[in-house]
Amino acid sequence: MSNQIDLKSLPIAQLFSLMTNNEEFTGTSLRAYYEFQARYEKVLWNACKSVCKKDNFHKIIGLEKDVYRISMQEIYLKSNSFEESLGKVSKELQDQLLIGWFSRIAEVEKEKLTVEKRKFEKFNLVVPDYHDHLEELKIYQTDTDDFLQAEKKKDRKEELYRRRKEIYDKVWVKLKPRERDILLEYFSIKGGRKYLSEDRIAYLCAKWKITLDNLLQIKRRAFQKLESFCEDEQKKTENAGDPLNN
Amino acid sequence: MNKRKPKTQATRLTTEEKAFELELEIMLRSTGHLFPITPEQVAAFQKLGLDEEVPDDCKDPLADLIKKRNEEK
Repeated sequence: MSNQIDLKSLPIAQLFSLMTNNEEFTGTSLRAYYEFQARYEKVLWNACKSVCKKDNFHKIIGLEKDVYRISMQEIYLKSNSFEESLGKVSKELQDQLLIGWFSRIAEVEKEKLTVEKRKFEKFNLVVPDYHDHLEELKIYQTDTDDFLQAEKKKDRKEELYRRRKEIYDKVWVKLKPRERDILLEYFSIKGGRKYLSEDRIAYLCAKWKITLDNLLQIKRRAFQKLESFCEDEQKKTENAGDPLNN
Repeated sequence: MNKRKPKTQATRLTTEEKAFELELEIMLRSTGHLFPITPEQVAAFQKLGLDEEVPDDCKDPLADLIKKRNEEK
């Protein structure tokens, strides 16, 4: 009997199976969802909060809460797309794939809400189901070896990576808000796409009241600035006698 | 009438720029400026150790959906 199942002991795939194979919005389906929520809500909430709070150029109040709520609803509504498609993977990797899927949903929802609230033209953004997410992930991350060996990282590489991240954090805030926004837009909802769509270009031009030429120049200049800032910071670290750079 | 074509050259990136662009995106997705997508980015994001509790008004995201469905019935 499903109501006797100890949900806490079930792997995530079985929870999704219970969400899907039982009547929507009823007993077992909901119980499975709430177990999923209990396990992941903190990390998912913190992702929403971080992304929606940082660089919030629109100053939309409560955006992170709306993005979180709607994205959790979408996870439930699209639970039938979840599959253990990668064969035997560690629980940790499975968790990371799940959080990545949520993130792609949240990114789309954040964009939808932003566009809606700013009364700009609405775009037909498609919320990815889990299968879409995995498919696009393959395109996004072409090096499959890296993909399958996500957990294997050397200490030195990690340390260098951490320091590089610190440098980026430091130099990112040196950019003007318009430059940061354009770069973030440029990377958002990219999935397998390589270039900004015409709609998104029009959206950016309207938002910042600039022409296409200006947009491209600002983007390019922002990259150059970042590169130069990063180089400066790197030199500072090297001059400070960082052993990791030797 | 100005029939000048928009410049497209500015969008062409060198190999170094592409590498920098890729690294930048990874950094933005690993540090919470953008949502983390790949397992590596998720792992990096988790290491930030953000540990804030879900606010009370977000504790039950399905509640609105259930209410709406019930109203439709």
